[in-house]
Amino acid sequence: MYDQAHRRRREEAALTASSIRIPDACAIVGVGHTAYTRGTDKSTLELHLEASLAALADAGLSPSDVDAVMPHDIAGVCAEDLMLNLGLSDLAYTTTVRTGGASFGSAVQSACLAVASGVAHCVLLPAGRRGYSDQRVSAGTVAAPPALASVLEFERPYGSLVAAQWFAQAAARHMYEFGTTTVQFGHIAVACRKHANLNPGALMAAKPMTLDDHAAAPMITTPFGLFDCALESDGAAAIVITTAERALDLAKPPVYIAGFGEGHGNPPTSITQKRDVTVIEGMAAAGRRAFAMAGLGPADIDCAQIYDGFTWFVLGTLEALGFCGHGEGGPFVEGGRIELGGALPVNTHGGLLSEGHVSGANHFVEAVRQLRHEVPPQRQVAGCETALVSNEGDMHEGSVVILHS
Amino acid sequence: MSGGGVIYSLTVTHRAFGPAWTERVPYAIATIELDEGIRMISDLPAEDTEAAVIGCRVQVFFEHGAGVSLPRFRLARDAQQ
Repeated sequence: MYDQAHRRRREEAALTASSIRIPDACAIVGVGHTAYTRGTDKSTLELHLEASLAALADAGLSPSDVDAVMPHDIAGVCAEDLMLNLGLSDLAYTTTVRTGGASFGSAVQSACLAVASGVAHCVLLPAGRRGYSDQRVSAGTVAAPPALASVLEFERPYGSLVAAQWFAQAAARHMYEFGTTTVQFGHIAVACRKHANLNPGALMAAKPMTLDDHAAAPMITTPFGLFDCALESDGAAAIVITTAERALDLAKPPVYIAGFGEGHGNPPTSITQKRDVTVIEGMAAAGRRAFAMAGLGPADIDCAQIYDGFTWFVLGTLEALGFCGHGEGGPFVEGGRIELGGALPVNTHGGLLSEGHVSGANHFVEAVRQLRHEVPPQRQVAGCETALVSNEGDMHEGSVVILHS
Repeated sequence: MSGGGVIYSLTVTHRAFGPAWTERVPYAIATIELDEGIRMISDLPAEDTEAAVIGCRVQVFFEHGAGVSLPRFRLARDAQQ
C-alpha cells in the first residue's frame, strides 16, 4: 500500500545521508536574454544562440567552458543544434526535461545533480520560442505534448483544445469554492504590469494597466480575459550553472542554489480529472521538496518569481507553496502585498504576463539579477537575499528552485 | 450508469481555437461529475450556454454521426440548482 508519509521520511533521510552535498553546491553564474518582441526575423535557434552567448559573456565564460547543455522541452531546439552552432565540444551530459512549462526549473534540478556529482562542470540552460511569429498558442496549432495523448480523445471532440480552457476550469472551481473573484486575478495582472512598466526590456514596458483595463479586456474563456493570459512573444533567455567553488572566480557574485524540487499531479494527464482542481498539487510537492532541501520556509523568501502562464497560476502557486492557506489566495494578492514595496514582491520583471514568454527562464534571470542587486533601483527589492522561482507545467506539475546570494 | 451528473466546473469559450468551433463561439465546456463519481467533459448545447453554472444538474444524450456515437450533456430539464 502506497504510504506517502513513509515515502517522505525516506526522501528526507536520503537527502541528509547522500554523499553528494547538494544545497549550495551549485551557483547560477551567468544570465542573458534577447529582446522580447512581437515579430522577429530570427529563427528559434538564432534566438537561443543569442541568449546563450549573452549568458556566457555575463559569466565571463565562453562556449568552450560548457560541458553540458539542457535544451527546453517545447523550444524545438535540440542539443546537437546548440553543439554545432555554439561550438560546444566533448559534452559530458545533455538532457531535455519534458514537463511542459515546468521544464526549465526541472532542468535546473538536473543541472545541479550533474554538477554536484561531478558528472558535469558547467551547464548551459537556454529556452525560448517564436511565440508571436510562429507558435501562437491562441491559434490552437501548437502540437500537444505526448503526455496529453490519453486525454485529448476525450476532450478535443468537445472543443477543449488549449491550455487556457483547462486552467480556466481550475480557476472557475476556485471561485466557486472560495469566492475568489476576477478582480483578484486582476490584482495579479496589474502587479505584473506595474513591474513591467519599470522594466525597459519588458514587452509591456510602455503600456500601463488598471483593474478597469483588466476587467474590460476581451474575454478568452471564462474567467480568463486577455490580460489573464501570458504574452505571445518572440525571444529567448539562458542561464549558466557551475560549482559554487568555480563561481567565486567568475565575473559576477554567485547566486547559490539552496534547494530545488519537482512535483507531479494525479492523474498526470488531465486537469479536470484531478479530484481537487483548486490545488496545484505538483507545485505543492515541488515546494515541499525545495524548502526541505534549502532548510527554509515561505517566510524566508524576499521575492518570488512565479510562473504566470495565467493569473490563476500565481494565485494557485502562492497557496500551494504555503505563502497563504488553501483558498486564501484572493485576499492575499490584494492590497499591494505582491507588488514592489509589499511583503512579497512577485514577478518583479513583469513575468510571462507582461515581460515576455520564454518558458519561465526569464524568471530565473530576474531572480538572479535581484539577488545580485543588479536591477535598476526602482525595481530592486530592498535587502533581497533569498528568492524563489516556480515553473508550472501543463497538468499542474511544478518545479521550484530557491536561490540566495 | 444513470447518465446524470452535476457540473463540477465550467468555462465559456469566446475564441475559436480550431476551425470546427468558429460557428459555435461562445460555447460552454463543462467538467461533469457523474452521480457514479466519474468525471467527463462535454460542450453544452448552445441554448444552455447562458444558464449553465457550477452545480447545475445535467443529463447525457448521444449524438450519432460519422460512425461515432458521442456522449454529450445538457442541462437537466427538471429541477436545476
